[in-house]
Amino acid sequence: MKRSGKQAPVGIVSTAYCLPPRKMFVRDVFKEEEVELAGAIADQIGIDQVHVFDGKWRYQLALEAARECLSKTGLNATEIDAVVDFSVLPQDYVVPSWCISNSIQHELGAEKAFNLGFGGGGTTNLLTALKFVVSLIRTGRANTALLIATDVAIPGNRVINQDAPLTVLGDGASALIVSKGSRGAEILDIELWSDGRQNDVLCVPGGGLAHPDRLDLYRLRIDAEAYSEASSLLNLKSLTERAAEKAGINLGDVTLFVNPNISSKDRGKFTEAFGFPDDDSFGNNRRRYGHVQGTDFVINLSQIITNGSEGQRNLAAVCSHGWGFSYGAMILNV
Amino acid sequence: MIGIEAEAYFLPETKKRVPEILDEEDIPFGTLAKNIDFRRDVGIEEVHVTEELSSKLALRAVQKAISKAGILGDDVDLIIDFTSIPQDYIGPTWSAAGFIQKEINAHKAICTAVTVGGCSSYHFAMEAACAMISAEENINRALLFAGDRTPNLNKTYYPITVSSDGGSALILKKSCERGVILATDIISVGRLHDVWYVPGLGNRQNDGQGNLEKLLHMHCDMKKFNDGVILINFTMFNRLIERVLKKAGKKKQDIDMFIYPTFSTWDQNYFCKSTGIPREKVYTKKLRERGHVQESDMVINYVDALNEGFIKKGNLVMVLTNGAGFAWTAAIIRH
Repeated sequence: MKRSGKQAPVGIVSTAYCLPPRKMFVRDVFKEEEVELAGAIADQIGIDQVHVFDGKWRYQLALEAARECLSKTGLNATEIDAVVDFSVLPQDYVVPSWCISNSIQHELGAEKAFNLGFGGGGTTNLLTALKFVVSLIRTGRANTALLIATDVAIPGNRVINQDAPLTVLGDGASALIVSKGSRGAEILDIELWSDGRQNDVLCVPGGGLAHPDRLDLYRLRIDAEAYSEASSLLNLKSLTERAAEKAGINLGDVTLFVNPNISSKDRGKFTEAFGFPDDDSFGNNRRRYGHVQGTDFVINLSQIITNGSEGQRNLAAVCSHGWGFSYGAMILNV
Repeated sequence: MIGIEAEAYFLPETKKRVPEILDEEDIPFGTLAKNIDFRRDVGIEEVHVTEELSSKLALRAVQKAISKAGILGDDVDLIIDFTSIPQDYIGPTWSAAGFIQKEINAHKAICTAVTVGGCSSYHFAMEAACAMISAEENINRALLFAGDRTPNLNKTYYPITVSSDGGSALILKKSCERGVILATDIISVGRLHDVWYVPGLGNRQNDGQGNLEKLLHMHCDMKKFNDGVILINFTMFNRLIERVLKKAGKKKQDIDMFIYPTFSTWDQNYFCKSTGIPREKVYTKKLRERGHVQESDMVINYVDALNEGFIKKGNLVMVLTNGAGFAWTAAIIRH
C-alpha cells in the first residue's frame, strides 16, 4: 500500500455522518433492557446517551450522510465510480442477498458507479473497504469512491454482553469520499489481518441458516470468553507498527490514534497497549453517541479534520481490532 | 498479469426431482409471459440438496481447489467470500471467510466478504481480488469461495430457476499464466435493488408468529422484475459485452466459449437470441441435472466445460451474468 514516488496520492477528501434526532440516556437503555447499571459499570463504559432511529428504512440515514459528504466536495454524483458499503449490523433486508450501496447509487443518481459492500469484519469493514478503494484508484480502475455505512441496533439489543456490559450501541450512518490527490487526509498505508479462529466472536446467531427461526438468538452477541482483549490489542499494535513501517514512519511519529468508541475502559486499554495512557481524545463522541460501529471512525476523523489547522499536518493511526477477528490499521497524513 | 490457478466445486450427492419441489413450494401452473410456462420451460429435472450448512459446502469446494493448485493454506494472502444468499449467520455481521481461514490454516490471510447479492458477486469478488493483488506487493494469491444452501422450501426462484445447494472456489494468483484475466466489467443499476430480496427476522410483522424461516426465503417483486429487469436485461447484456470486449481489445468472434448461469431453458434461449451468440458457444449442458447454483454457476460451468474439452489451453472465455441488486458483469479469461 505504501505509495512509491511515482504513485499519485489518494486521500479521504470528505467525511460526514448522520445521527437520528431521538436520544436516549444510557440509564434508560439499561432499564429498558432490564440490565443493572452499577456505578463501576457506568464508569467503565463511559457512554451517557445514544441516538435512536425510529424510522423504517435504515438506508435513509446513510443517504443523508452521503448527500452531505458529497456536497462538501462540490462533486457531482455522476463523478462517483464506486459506492462501497461498510456496515456491520443487519440491514433493511438480509445481507449478502441485498446491499445498501445499490439503493444509495440510485437515490444519489450516481449512474456510472458500480456498487458493492464488504462484510464479516466488524468495524474493520471500513478499513477493508478503504484498502479496496485505494487499490482501485492506484491501479487506474477508478478515480473517486463513496463509502457508506448505516448501523441500527436490533430492538432491545443495545447493551452488549449483558452479564458484564462492554458497550452500548447507538444508531447512525456515515460516508466518506476517497479520491486521487492529497487534499484532506492522505492515506499512506492500510494493513489488514484476520484470525479465523475468532470468526464467530461477533455475530447474530439467530435468523440465518444455523437457527433460522430462533428469534431469541436474533441479537448481536459478543463471545466475551473467547475474546481476549489483551492479545487483540497486542496484535493490533503489531499491525499498526507494520503499517507505520510501510508508510515510512515510526509509530512514535504518530500523534493521533483513532479507535472505535466502544467504552472508556476499551480506550484506556488501547492507549495503555500503545504506550500513551490517559488520552481520551474522542471521549466526548463516545459519551454522546455510544458505539456506532464503523461510523465511530468517521465521527472521530471528522473531529480531527475540523480541529486541524491550515497548513499543519499530523500523522494519525486508525486502528480496529474487530473484536479479535479482523484487524486493520491505517496511517493517515491529516 | 493475474490468472486463475485453480477452480473447483462441490455438489452434495443427494438429489431431488424438480416436479416434487415445485409442488411442495406451491409454484403456479400456466403461462407466465410471452408464451412461457415456468413448469414446462424451466428445463431442470433435478437438483442437489443437503441439510449441511453453507459454510461446510464452501469448505469442501475450497479444499478441492487448494488441492488442485497444490498449495497450502499458508500460501493464501486474501480470502473473499462471494456467497450471495443467507449464510449460517446473517451478514454483514458475519461471513464464512474466517471459518474457511481457520479450517485451511491460512494463518497470514486477510478475510472479507463481498456483500453485493446475486450471481454477479463472482465478478465483484474477482474485481476486488484483482485490484488488491495488482496494488499490493504482499498480496500474491487470493482464494475466492461461495457456499449456498437454500432455506427449507425455497429452492424455486420463480419465475427464473430452481436452485441446487453447493459450493465453489477459485484461486487467483499474480503472474499466473493459466486462466489469465484480461478484463472485467461491471454495470450496476441500483434502482433495481429490491427486485429480489430476503426480508429477514428484522422485517417480521408479529413477534414469534407464523413460520419465521419463511422470512429467510428469497422474494421477488414481480412487477419490478417484469417492468424493470426484463425490459432492459438483454440491452444491458449487449452493452456489457461490447464494453468488456473493448477493454480486452477483442472482438465477439474471438471468444471461443461463453460461460453463463444455468437459470432455465427459456432464459438461455432468450440470451442466445438477444445477444446473437451461437448456442453451441454457450455452455449450458448441466442445466437439466442440477439447475442453478447461485453465483457458483460461473465456477461450476467453467470447470465442467474445461473437463469436457469445451475450453482448451489458449481459448478466450467470456464469463458473464446478471445478478440481483442489480448488476450485469463479465470477465474475459484467456485459459
